[in-house]
Amino acid sequence: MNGALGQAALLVGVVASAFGAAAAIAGARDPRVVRLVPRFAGLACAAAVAAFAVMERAMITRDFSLAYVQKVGSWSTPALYNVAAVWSALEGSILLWVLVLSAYAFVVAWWVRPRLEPRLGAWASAVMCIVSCFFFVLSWGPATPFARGAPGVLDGPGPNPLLQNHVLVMFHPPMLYLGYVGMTVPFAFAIAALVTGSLDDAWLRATRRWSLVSWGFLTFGIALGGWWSYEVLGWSGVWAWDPVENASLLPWLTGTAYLHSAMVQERRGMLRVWNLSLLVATFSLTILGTFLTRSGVLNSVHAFSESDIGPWLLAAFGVVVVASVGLIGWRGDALRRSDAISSPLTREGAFLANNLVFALFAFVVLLGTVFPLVVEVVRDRQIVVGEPFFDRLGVPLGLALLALMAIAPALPWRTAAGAVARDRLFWPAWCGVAALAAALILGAHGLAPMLAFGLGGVAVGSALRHLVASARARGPLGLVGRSSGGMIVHLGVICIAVALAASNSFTRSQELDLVEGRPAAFAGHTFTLRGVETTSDERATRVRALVSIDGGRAYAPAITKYLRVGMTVGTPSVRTGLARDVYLTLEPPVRQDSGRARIKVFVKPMILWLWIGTGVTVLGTLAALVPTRRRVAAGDPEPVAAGRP
Amino acid sequence: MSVRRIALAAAVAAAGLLAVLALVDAPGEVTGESPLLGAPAPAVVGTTIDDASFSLERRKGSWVVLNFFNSTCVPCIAEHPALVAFAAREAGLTDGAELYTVVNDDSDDAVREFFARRGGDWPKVRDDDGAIAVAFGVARVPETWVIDPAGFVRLRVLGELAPGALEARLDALRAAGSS
Amino acid sequence: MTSLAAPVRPSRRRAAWATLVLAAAALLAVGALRDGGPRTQQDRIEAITGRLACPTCAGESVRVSRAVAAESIRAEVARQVAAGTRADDEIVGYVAARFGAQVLLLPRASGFDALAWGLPVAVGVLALAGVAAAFVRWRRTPAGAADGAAPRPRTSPAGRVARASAVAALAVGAGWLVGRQSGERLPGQSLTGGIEDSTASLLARARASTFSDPASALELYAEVLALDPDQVEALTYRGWLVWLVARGAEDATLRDRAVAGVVADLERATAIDARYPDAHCFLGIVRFRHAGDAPGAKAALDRCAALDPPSEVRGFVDAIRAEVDAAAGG
Repeated sequence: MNGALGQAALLVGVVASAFGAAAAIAGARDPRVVRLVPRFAGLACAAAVAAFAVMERAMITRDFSLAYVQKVGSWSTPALYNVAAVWSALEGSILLWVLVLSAYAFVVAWWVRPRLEPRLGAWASAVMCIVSCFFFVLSWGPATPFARGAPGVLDGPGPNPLLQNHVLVMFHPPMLYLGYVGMTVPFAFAIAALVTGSLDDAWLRATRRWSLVSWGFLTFGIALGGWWSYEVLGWSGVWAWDPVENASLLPWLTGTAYLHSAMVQERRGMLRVWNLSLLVATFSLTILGTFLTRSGVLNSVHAFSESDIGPWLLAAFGVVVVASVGLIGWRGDALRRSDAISSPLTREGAFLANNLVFALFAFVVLLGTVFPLVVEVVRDRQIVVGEPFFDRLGVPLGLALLALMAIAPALPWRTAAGAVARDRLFWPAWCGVAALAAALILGAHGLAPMLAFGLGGVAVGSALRHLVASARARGPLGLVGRSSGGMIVHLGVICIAVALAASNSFTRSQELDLVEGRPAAFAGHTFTLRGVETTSDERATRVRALVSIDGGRAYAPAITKYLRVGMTVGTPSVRTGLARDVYLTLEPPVRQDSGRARIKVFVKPMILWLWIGTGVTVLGTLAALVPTRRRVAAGDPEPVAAGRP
Repeated sequence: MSVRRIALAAAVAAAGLLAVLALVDAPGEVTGESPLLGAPAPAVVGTTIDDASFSLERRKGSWVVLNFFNSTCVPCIAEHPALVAFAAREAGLTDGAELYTVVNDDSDDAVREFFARRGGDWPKVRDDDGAIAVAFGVARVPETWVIDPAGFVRLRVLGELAPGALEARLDALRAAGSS
Repeated sequence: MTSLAAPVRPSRRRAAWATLVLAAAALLAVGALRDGGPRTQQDRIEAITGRLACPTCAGESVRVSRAVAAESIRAEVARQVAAGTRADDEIVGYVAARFGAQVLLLPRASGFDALAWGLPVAVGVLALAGVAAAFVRWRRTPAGAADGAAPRPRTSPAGRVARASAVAALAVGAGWLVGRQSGERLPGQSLTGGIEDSTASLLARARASTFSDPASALELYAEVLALDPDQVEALTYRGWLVWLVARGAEDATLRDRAVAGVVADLERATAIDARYPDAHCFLGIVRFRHAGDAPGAKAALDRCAALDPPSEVRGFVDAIRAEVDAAAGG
């Protein structure tokens, strides 16, 4: 029953979004038709909600007539993880995608479109509807979660044990999808601008907030993924450069580049082709990333399942690229402005440099991700490109970005004014020197981390200088709005960068064979085994070693053997601190009643600052969303970035 | 340079990427190659699940077949009858090969039960921390390796053995060795 | 925008900047040059396994992965680090030699793989050149000066071609250099490493030429014994080879002396490792064939049979077993 209901809902979605697209395209000429678009988009959205609800119901009632429930459902999965089990494999993830996308499409059709030039709004809605139609088809056909399963199945294995280990699985994928899928909205407006030829900056201003919201969700989602990795996977890291992580990072990189270069277009009317290209790149990279990670051409931990949607996604990627490049080529020369950036030492010059570095970063990540495939096709040989490659190339690029964050906020628009910039950079530069000195006192070493700390210090100084100046000029309101929000985001990102540099460079690790009651010392801490506990239920057997750190409370790294799937999962235990985390994992072989345990200890500096930085970034994004422009720019024909006195 | 020309260049680059992605197959069967083929076998040692010691070096003078195995792996179960037949045939030959099962990530009891149910009384060597598997570069079970009486690695078979295939390959190796 | 700094005289400001730059440079230099202290074994293990891909999960490093194959490789790396005989690169090379180059996470510095390093650099150089060219053009046409059509640069076509090819050459050169510098380069991708490995290789080669070329086999065994005088297999098979050659000798004194050496070798081998069947078997055969010592031969052969000799040796023994039993029994 659930199967038929779900399929029916998805079919309604396919038809409604197709009609929505048709109505929008027709509506670009005829304003009477365009009024139908929100209704169709709303119907499609309702259909997606219904399909998702049916799936949740099937999962909660354990309807094992569905193949998908057989795959990821189980009577023994706790309720919370059972709800999240819906998106624990490919088919459910696509369904979540459909849900988010159709909601965005509805909001665009119902809220954004009427506030815009009619043809632009109609075409943007049309693109949204076409993309959601594609994903409805995907979810209804090749990736349907409502297919009938083998008869007679009464229980299943449940989701991958890694996905029933931490509450973050509830939030990481939906956040990521809100960002990932949200990038469709600015893309739709970019295409609409190209199709209609309304190439002034109306589309850009209309989507500014949407890009920011999507970017915020994406950033938050990526950070939650890092947190999940740290808390669950037990190798003590937050980022492994695996293909799925890369797939989420790629649109983040091009999206971040866009947020910066869009300011150049608003302010100076330049970089129009480039901005459109960045949006197209961002959207097509989400499709490409999904293809790479879900079609099975690359293996990855995250690819918890594979399916035959590969050709569909590849075709979609091809269509998106061909259509967009064609449109840009067609309209391109009308987009040119013969304005000029007078010097690299202006704000727009720094944004240009920023875009260069972000684009190069995206190129490195894309190259590293697809290079094994290229080698396989060209050389018929298998290679893997991983962590050390991205680290080596990513570190100089990251340092370049930190340097830009340090300098750019002090540079004036339009004309290079060396004296002004020097004045503005004076105190931030001392911040950098102070950061270097502090790092040295705390024992830092190595050129790259030292550079990161120094540049981070200058960048913090730059951002704070801006915030203080803005607050002085405008009171507390000076701390919100676009550019102050941006500076708060900078503070968060610098926090994350410095924390990454510290934790990647100065982690100390040791394996300790602990005997009950006999303390062992490492890196200035003592570790005492208090006991080894075994608990067991129908789902799993779990062995926990109770280890007290420095004589304090006991932490309990564990190894859990999931009986049904025959998988062993280690669960770390972390003592979190402002200065450093102490991260414990229990290592096999586990001898239950021997009074001994082998644990691995990682002492990792500054990890907490990753999460603090994430929080600050989210706050900054929210602050940047607070509208201030209307008040400031009233009567000003040229839109000025808000918050600038 | 005009936007049109740049767009064309971008389209060409994207088409190249598209071609690569369309041409590449999902990772499939890996060939049974190894830098060890034709080289002296690594000197692995271990104990069998019956606590007898095992040293590969000491088995020089016999053809040795190592079968990397796990009692839950499906192709291992599938190929087991072929191994039983192979062992029976070799036992009847004067220069019959010695067959050893190398147990990968499995408990003694599970292995005993497997062999009690499905037959086969050749020695089963423990490989608790995977030292033997790493020495041969075995990532996935099953894998079957043949080592000649001089101690050189002669053959690597990845995945499930077809019935009779190992016998044929070994006879070919023997013929090549004696000629 | 107000400056937060109070107005200061330019000369003093310049001095302050100079101090600042010097201080930053000094701090950076101290930080960059100072030693981070010794690494623990676990730090080495983490570093080495971070360079290796888990062979069954592609995309994850051995350090990150919890797959069985990754656990096994981690254990092997830990063993080798604990043994302390190999450097990091050699351990990576050891694993790569067995699992193939597809476990190297870092693309290699040579051949097609170097493109992974060279391309980003080349693209970066090209992009920089493009931006530089844009700035040159912008300088020629100040903001808002002309409409749509970009003004033709004043350089000749030949000049432009020359400039473009110079940039292209720079891009390719820089990419090539970085590719050469950064990729994975391992010390000799061969399997021979420590002394055990070279011994194993010599022994295997000697064994392979026992019948086809006994002379060189003898030389190889001598080489092994020079490295390790207690190498049981070399002692045993050198003895056996000498016996095979000497038993046909015409001169009885010569033969006796050779065989005395053989027996000494074989007895030494059995003394060093009493559980090595081959030495017992050969000792039995030599005792019986040369000295006619049937009871001694039977004892050695029984010992050998109990130790489960490999089939080749069993073949030699089976040929004389009945004779020995008859002689010993009689």
